[in-house]
Amino acid sequence: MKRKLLALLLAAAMVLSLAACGSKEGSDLPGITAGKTIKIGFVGFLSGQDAYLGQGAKMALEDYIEELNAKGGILGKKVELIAYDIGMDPNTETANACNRLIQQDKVVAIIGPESTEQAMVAIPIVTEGKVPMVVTTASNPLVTVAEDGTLNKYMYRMCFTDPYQGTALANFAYNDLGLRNTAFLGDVTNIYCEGIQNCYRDEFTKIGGSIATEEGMMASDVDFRAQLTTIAESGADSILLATGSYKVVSFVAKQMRQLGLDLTLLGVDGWYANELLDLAGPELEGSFMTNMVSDDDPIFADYIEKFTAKHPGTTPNVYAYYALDAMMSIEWAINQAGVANSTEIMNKLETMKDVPVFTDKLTIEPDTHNPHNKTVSIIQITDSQFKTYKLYTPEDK
Amino acid sequence: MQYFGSVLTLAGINMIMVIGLAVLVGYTGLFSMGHAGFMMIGAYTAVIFYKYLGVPFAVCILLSGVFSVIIGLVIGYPTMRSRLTGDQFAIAMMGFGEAIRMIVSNTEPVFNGALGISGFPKLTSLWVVTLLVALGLILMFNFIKSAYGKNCIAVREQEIAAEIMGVDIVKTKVIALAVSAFYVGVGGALFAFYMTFISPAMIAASKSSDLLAGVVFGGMGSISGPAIAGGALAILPEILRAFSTWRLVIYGVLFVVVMLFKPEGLLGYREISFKPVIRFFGRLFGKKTAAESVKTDNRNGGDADE
Repeated sequence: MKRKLLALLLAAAMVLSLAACGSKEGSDLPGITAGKTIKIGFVGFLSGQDAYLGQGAKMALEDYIEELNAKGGILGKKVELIAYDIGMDPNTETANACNRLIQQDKVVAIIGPESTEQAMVAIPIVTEGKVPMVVTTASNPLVTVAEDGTLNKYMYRMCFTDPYQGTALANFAYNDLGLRNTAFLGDVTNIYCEGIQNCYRDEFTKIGGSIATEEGMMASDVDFRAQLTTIAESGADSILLATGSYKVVSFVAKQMRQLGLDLTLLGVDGWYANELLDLAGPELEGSFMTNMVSDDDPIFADYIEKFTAKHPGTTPNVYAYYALDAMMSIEWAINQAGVANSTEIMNKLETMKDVPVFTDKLTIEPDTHNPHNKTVSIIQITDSQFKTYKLYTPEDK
Repeated sequence: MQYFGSVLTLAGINMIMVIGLAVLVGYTGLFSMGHAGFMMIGAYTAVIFYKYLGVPFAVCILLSGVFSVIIGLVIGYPTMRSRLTGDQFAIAMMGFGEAIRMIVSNTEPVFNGALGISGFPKLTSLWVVTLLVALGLILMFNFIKSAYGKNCIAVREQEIAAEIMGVDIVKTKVIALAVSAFYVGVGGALFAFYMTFISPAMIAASKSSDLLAGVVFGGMGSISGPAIAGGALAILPEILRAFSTWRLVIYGVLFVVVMLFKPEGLLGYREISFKPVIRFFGRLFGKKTAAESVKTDNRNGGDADE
């Protein structure tokens, strides 16, 4: 028994010694104030099968910060990006990476992660550390506003939320395309998919449409013929394929053509990857999807050209654009505050109103920390390219 | 130094689950590819009891273990009855793990489907985890030394011989499964209360193989080996951060290297002995403790032979 007690005591002593190492910051402002350089953290998928989410974003951020430093940095201080990968075990790694960024690296703000689940994990960590986190594409409302309606003060979002997108798509399908009977094909274990499906269902049935059938799948599946056959028999005129994986989209599109199914395929911003068009461009002809940006807009052309010249073989994606938006917002907030302090940045981000960032003019809603009236791009795939079909901007209620 | 605390906490949670699985995989010789299912059960049980029924945290942790055991018995008894061995059992458990994930994902009331449950505080601290790791290790060592533990080893080594000797094979295997389910369930609960958010996608099927890797990596007939491996495998990716995107490759290569040169795992069939430490303290504190430690040493020595 003594031996065991000893082991316990030793373990406790170890823990205590670790706790004793903690030191206080030498600033009167709460949170973290930048020292010689302004450190900005980035948390995202840089490896693994979802690496396309974060790699482009990291490159874009590095390029931007290089330019920024060449111009003298922010408030005369150099900016440094510290990027951590969460590709191996995303949730635990997000917790570790955020703790490390805040405790060890002393960043004043964190950009990312890309998905809702990881953003949820980060909430208590950034709140405790008093460091604002600007998520790029984590679109579930719960990221910024908790279930009980309280605001997660330190969380900001650059993209629109799932309800916003689902509602826009339902309206577009009903009014513009004249669709009345949609079938769902989605991964119900995925928050993103379920969020969009729920909102689409609510809005679409409210305005008079109906849902033919709801078919499940898994993101790792490669064969969808069984579900597609059921959908064909259900009499649906369209399929909503709410997935964040472009591989799934390409499989579904190809198998639809093989089965001779000629239904309108409706997609979401998770489709948006140039790789998709290489895989299944012709099969997706005529499909519609909602998106966060329309980068066939000429204003993006210069940037895309510059990016591809610098990083041969890669093109920037929406995750890169939104990371830049986040970076520019943080830059704006530091300039406004006049000091690179994490709580000051948090306070200033809330006051953003028509601030020009990379993709758009950004207004942040102070009560939800979401962008206000963000434009939804409706994109049609024509000639194996993403072409903007229509811009949908909600009006103030 | 909260960062180290965070890494250690997650490593501790992993340790608890890996030593739980070690009883089943290492000692009883039944491979399981679906213990993430128990983690999910544990996590959701604890969260639901805490959030909707207002049960205290400590009780929730216990309940999550108990629920995992109940489900473990439900799935375990029929599979053991029908004498599923080796690969068959591993695949059956894989199906079980996926089934649990699908059930949770598709149950809207209470479980909230894929959206998961949020809105509960962070209650898992390094203290709680350290305490439970210590407690878990002590109980596990005692279990292994008990008649049940010896039965498990007998079943692993020669099932038919064990049966002839009068060992109830089905009961032994079910008990081993229940013990592992309890540990993994508790681990799941601690994980949920550390993340303050739980959704089915967070406990993916790959978690099962991670746990299994911990046991194989640590040693197939050891508790301290898997305990160390479970902690190390959770900490390693953080240490490898310096290598940026190459770290997954390095992680994989390290795995292959260890398995090539030490196929029996880090500790194989041995346990870490406290002998030198005890002797040292024995000398410090006088004869009585020394005499006591010699007695425990003998017990330890007996273990090592197995």
